[in-house]
Amino acid sequence: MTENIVIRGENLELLPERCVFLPSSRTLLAADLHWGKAEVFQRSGIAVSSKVLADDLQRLSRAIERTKPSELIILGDLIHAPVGITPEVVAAVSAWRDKHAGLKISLIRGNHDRRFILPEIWRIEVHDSPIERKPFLLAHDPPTEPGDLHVLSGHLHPVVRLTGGGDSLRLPCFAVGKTGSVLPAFSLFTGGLELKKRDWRQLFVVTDNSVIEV
Amino acid sequence: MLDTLEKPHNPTERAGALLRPVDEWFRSRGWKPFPFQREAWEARLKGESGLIHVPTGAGKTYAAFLGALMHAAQDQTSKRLRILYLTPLKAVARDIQLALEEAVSGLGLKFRVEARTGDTSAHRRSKQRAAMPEILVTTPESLALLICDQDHERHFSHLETVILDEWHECLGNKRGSLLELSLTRLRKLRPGVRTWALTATISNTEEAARVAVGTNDRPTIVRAKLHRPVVIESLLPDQIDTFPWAGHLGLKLASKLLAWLDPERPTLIFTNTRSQAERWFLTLSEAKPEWREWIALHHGSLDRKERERVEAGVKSGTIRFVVATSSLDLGVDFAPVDRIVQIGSPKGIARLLQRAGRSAHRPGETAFVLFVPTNALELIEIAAARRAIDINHVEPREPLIKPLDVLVQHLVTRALGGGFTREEILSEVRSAFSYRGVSDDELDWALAFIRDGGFSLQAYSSYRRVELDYGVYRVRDARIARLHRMNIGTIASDASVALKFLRGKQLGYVEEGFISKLKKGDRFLFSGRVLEYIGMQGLEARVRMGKGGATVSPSWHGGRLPYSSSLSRSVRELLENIDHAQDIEIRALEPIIEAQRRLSAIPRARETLVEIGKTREGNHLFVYPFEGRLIHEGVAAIIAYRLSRFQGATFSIAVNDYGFEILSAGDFDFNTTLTPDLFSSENAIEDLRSALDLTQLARQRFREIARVAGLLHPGHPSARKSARQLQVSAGLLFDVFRRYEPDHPLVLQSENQVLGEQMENGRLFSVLDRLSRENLIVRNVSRPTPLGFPLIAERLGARLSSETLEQRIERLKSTWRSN
Repeated sequence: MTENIVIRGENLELLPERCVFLPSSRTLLAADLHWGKAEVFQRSGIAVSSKVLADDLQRLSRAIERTKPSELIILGDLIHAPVGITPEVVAAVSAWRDKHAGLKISLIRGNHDRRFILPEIWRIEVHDSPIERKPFLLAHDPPTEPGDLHVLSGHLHPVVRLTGGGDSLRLPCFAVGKTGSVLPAFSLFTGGLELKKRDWRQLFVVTDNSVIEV
Repeated sequence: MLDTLEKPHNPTERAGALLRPVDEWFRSRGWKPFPFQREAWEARLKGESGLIHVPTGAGKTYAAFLGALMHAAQDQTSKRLRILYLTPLKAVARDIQLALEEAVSGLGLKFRVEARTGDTSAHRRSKQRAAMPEILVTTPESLALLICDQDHERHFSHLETVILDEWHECLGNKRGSLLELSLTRLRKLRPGVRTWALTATISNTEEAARVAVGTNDRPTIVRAKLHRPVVIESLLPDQIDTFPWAGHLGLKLASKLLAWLDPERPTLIFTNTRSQAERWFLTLSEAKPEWREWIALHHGSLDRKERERVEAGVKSGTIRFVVATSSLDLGVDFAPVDRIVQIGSPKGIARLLQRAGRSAHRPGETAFVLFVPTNALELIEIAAARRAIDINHVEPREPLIKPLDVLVQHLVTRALGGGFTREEILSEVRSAFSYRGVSDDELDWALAFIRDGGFSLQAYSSYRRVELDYGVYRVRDARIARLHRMNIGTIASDASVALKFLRGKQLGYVEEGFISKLKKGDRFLFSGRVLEYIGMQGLEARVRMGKGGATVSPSWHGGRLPYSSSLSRSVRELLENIDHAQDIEIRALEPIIEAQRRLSAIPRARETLVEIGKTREGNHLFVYPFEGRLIHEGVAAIIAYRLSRFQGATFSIAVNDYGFEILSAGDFDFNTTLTPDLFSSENAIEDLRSALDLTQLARQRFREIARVAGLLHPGHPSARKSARQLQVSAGLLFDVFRRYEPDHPLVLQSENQVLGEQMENGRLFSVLDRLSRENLIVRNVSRPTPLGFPLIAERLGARLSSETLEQRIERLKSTWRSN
C-alpha cells in the first residue's frame, strides 16, 4: 500500500519500497543505498551476506516497475565506502543496470560518496550539489535553515519508536517537516536515528508491504 | 637441599619428603596445615589433578598452590613458566601475587611471581613475552590473548600446574567455556600438566571437577571438612500490618538499621542493585553526618580509583560501613569486617553464604548476617534460606553446553596463534568437557564460518577472517588479527559513557542507554550525590552537583538478580508446613499469613493455589507454583497461549518468584476454562515457541553472541576513524542474518539460549507435570491477597499478542494519540 501526500501543492507517493515518486515529473527518489556495506564488513572478518545488495537491487527494480519513472535520482550515499565496491558488486550493479537500460539515473553525492569515482558502466550521472525541482530542492543533507524550496533529502536514516501497552516497535519512516522532508534509508542494512514525533508534521512508518501514517 | 634427599619410592612417602620444607615454614610462622591442605598437596605431588571444595576464607590459595610449588621446586634450574594461577577477578591478581610471593620467599625459593592482566603495563607484558616468570597470575582473557601469540608454545613449554581459582564463578557462563577451550590448548602442548580448581560451596562438585580437568584426566576431590556456622537474624518491622506487601527499596527500616549499626564493628551492607545502593548510602549518610568519614559506597559503575580507595579503607579499618552491590561479593579478605547486612532477598542460597563469608576470616569462625526485608514476603524467603543453609542445600552451577560463539572465537585465536589443521582442532576441542559432544558438522560449520562466512561462498566473496593454507587454518590479515585481540573475551558490557564533572573529575561510568534518555537539567543519584546532567562532550557525559532531589533514577543492566530455584523450593516447603514453623520471621508475619488464609488460602503439600478476581482492569488469574521467575515466565506464557485458543483475547502477564498473574482486559471467564490439562507438558515446547515473542527475545540475546563470535567490535578508545564504517548494532546484524540466513547457527544459538533458559534445561516440563497432577485450589477473591498484591504492583508489560505488525501499529497509534 502506498500513501499519497501533498507538499506545496505537489503530489508525492510514498512507497513501501522506501522510495518517493513524484508523478508530475515521473521522478523516483531513493536515499542512502549504501552499496558495498556488507562487503566492507566482510573485509573486516564480519560475515554479513552479500545478498543484502541483491535484495536491495530487487526492491529498487520493484519500485521502478511499479512507477515507470523517467528518471531515478539518488539522494546521496549510493555507496558505503570505496573498499566495499568489489568486482562482484560492480558486476551485480551492472547486470541490474542493464535491466533498466533506458532509465536515466542521477546521484547527488552524499558524504559516503565523496571520494569515489563511479564505474562508467553504471551510467549514473553525478551531481556535486543539490538539484532544483520546484517546489523541491533535492539534496543529501536535510536543511539547516529555512529556504524557498522544500528540501527532500536523506542522510538521517530516520526511524521512529512506537510504544504503548507494553509493546514497542522501531520502524524506518518518512518524515515530513516544515522546511524539508526526509526519506528512510533505502538499504535494509542500515541503523537509524530515532526521531521525535513532535519535531515533525507527519511521520509514515514503512513495513515490507505498506506505508502507514502514525 | 632437595637434591640431597634420597627419593623414596612410595608416592605418599615421597610427597611427604617433598613437603618437609612446607611443614617447617608453617611451623616457623606458628601455623598448622589443615588436613584438606595436606591432602591437596599430597595429591598434586602424586601427579593427580582435581578440585578443592572449600568455604571462602579458609586457606584455599595455599591448599592449591603449595603442592604445585613443591612439585616445581624439584627443578629450580629451568627459568620457564611452571605454574599458571587463573583468577576471574582482575582486581585481586595483585593480592594473590603477594600471597604467592610470601610463600615462595618463605620457602627460600628463587622463583619469580608476576601478574598479567588487562591492567599490566605494556612494557611489563612485552618483557613477560620474552621471558615468562616461573609463576604467573592471570585471567581467562589474558590467557586467551597469550594463546594468540604465534609462538605461544614457547611460553608454556615447561608448564606443570594450572590453578583455577573461584572456579564456581566460571562455571555456567561463557568465560568458563572460553577458559575450558584455552586449557585444551595447554594440555595439548603439555600432556603432563595438572589442573587444580578451587570452588566455594556448590551442589554439583563432581561435575565441576570434571569440567575443570577436561575429558582426558580424572579428578580427585578434596573437601575441607570445616564447619562454618552462619547466623542469620532479621530486622523485624515493629508494625507488620503497615509494612509494605511489595517493593524493593526497604528504606522504611533505615532508622532501625542505623540504631543497630555500630562503628566499632565494621559492616558490609549488601544491596541487590546499584540504584538501591545509591539510595541507601544517601539515606544512611544524611541521617548520620558524623559518620561521613566512616561510610562509603561501592558498586561496579564507580570509578576504579574510588573503588580502590574504599577497598583500601575497609582493609585498613578507616572505613567502617560500606553500602555495596555484588561488586564486593568476591575478592580479597577484609579482615576488619565483622558483620554483614543483607538488604532485600539475597535471591540465592549460595549468594547469601558467599556474602556471609565476608565476615568470617578464619576457618570455624561464625559468620553473621542481619537481614533487612524490603517487603513482608521476603521474611518467608529469609527463613527458607536459613533452613536451606542448615541442611546444606545450595544451588548447582551447571556448565554451558558447547556455545558456538565461544568456539568461533577460540578457533580464530588458534588460527592466529600458529594455525591448526581440522584433525588437530577436533581432538583438542573435544577434550573440553563442555565441548566433548561437539559434532563433526558443528565444527565444520564453525570452520566454514570463519573461512568463508559459512553459507554460499558467493555471498561472502570479500570475507577473509581465516585462510586455509594447505590444510592449515591461519589468520593472515594484520587488521583482522588486531581486531580479534582487541575484542577477545566473553564479557558483553553495554556501551558505557564516562561521567565527569565540568572541571574534569571522573566519577565513573553509566550505560549509554541511560544517558541518551536524559535531558539537560535532569537530576539523578550517582556515587552518593545528586548530579545534574549538562550534556555530552565528545564521548563523556558532563554533570554538576544538583540542587534538590533526583528526578530520574539510573537503570543499570544486570540490575535484576536471577532467582534461584533452590530458594523457591525452600519457600514452598516452608509454606506447606507453615503452621508448625517456629522461625521468628514467620511468627512475625502471622497477621499477613492470617490475611492470606482469610482472603484465599495457603497451599499445602501437593496443592497449587489459584486465585481468580475481577477489578476495573479486567479479570485476573493468579497461580502460585513457587518455582522462580524464569519458570513462571514460561508457564505463564504457555497457559496464556492455551487460554487464548479457547477464546480470542489479549492477556497481560506478570511474574515474580512466587507465581504469575494473567490479566484479561476483556470479560474472559477463567472459572470455566481452568482445568488441570491446561498445565499438561504435552506440546509444551511448541506452545512456548508460539507464545513467546521468540524473535524479539533472541534478538536481545544476540548482542552477546555477536560480540563473542567477533561480529561486533564495540570500539576502542584508540580505534581509528576508519572503524566508524564498521559501527553497527547487534539488532541490525540479527535482522540481516535472520533475513538472509534464517538457519544461521548463531541465530539458532540465540533462540536456543532463550528457550533453554526459559525452560531451565527441561525443568519446565517437570513443573508442568507437577501442576497437572496436583490439586488446584481455586479461590475467587474479592481483593488482592498478600501473595497476589506484589504481582499486581510489579506487573510487567509482557503482552501476548496474536496481532500482525500492522495491527500492532494501529493499536500503538491509538494509545499514542490519547497521550
